[in-house]
Amino acid sequence: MSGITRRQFAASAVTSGAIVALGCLGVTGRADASVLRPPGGQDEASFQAKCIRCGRCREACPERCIVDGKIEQGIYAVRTPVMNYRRGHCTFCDLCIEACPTNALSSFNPDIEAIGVAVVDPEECIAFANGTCGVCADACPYGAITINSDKVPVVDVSMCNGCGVCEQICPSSSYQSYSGSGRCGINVEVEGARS
Amino acid sequence: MSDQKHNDASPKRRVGKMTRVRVFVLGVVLALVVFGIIFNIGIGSYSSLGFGELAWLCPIGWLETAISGGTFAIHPLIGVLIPIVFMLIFGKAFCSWICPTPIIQRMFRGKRNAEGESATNDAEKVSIDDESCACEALPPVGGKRDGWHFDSRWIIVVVALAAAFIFGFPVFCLICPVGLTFASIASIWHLLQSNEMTWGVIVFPLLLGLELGIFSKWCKVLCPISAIMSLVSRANKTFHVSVDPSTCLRSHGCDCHVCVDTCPELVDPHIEKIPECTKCGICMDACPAQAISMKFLARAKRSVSSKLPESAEKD
Repeated sequence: MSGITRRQFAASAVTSGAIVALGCLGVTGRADASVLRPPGGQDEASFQAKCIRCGRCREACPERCIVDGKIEQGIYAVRTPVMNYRRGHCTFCDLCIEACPTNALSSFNPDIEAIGVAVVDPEECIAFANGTCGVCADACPYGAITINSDKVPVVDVSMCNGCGVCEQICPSSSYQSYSGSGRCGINVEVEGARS
Repeated sequence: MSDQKHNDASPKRRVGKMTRVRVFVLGVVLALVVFGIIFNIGIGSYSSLGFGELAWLCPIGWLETAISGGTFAIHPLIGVLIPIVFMLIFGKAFCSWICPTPIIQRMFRGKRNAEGESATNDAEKVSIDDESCACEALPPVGGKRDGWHFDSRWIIVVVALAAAFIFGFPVFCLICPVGLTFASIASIWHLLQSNEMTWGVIVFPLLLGLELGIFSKWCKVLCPISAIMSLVSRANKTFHVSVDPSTCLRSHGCDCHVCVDTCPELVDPHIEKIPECTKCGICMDACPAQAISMKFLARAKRSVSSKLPESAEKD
């Protein structure tokens, strides 16, 4: 074995320490991981094990609704693909799944599986304010949203697959309904992560 | 003769032909990826590059995800075969022909060799006076990194794979300078595109600068990709640099060692087993006798002095 100088050993020790530290940070933040993954990445543990942050799925998406997770979202999310339904919605074209080189995104059936679930936010939703909006119910391609007798949207959780059309098209958070919270009247959230 | 050769043998001043070709290729591939990021072409980044389902897969990424994912699936296996075949044919050429890390490192280190070793010293090294030319062929001087060694890069390989196993995700990918290069580009582009500022715009380039500028030891001391590549390159027989014994000045007794001095990987092109060679061609451009070439298959006839003499043999 060729000699490793003290400097080289020190450099590799520092780098190793950084790797271990980042690993610990990632694992401790795991419980808070509640970002929407592209179709096929819903098993978070399996997704995290395989995502090498190559960015191919982000580039492959024709709707441009996959973005890179930010540092602020945690080690588990940084540089990994996260759905952003302000930019587009998921058409389940499977291009992201095809693009993924490590099978972090595996096959996905939009009829029985879900990216997430749409949740109405009563504080932002215009229908709750004045009962005049039903855009999401009209737009939902899966018939998962209906307007009930109180003139507010209700999500049928069993029909919703988290495609994001409702969130993209929701006209709230503008003009008199603007609250600066960053949330729409209806938002797609990770299943089971409701606050 | 000696004056002419003396003047020609200052390789630092002009950019050699091989370097021009190499930088061109590097630039084209990099531009392709940046284009892809900006226009969503779908190519990917150097961790995984390709079209549609067919993309190469970084060998370290493959190993990490196989370990943390607990499975060897077909699609990633096909992906990683692409760089493996590339390494069998072209050795470590990725390092000097595609990888952005040496370029970035050079930006911090200036004209010297990427990691602080002076690539060429003064013209003294190239003195080819008539008086010092004996008639007997001189043996090769040998480079510091000839052959294959289990060096500090392998510590990082082991730690990266252990981290993938222990923590359940490919941790190394977070600090890989190749990944950080494209993370920096992508986050800056995202900022320009959508006015969304994130900490990444500052942190990724900062981390990159830290790794390559202040520590500046990445390629030879830390890079696990290069470690794997030098291992696979032990089987690389093609595009080996070969020195023409009839033209090489050492065969004529002159103590010329320009090739070894200019080599960024610190190997001697005369030596047969040099898996660290990245086929950069700097020695080819620098050789005052134009004795070095790089063909698909090296000439069968090797010079007498293709192996180190026993006294100078490394263990």
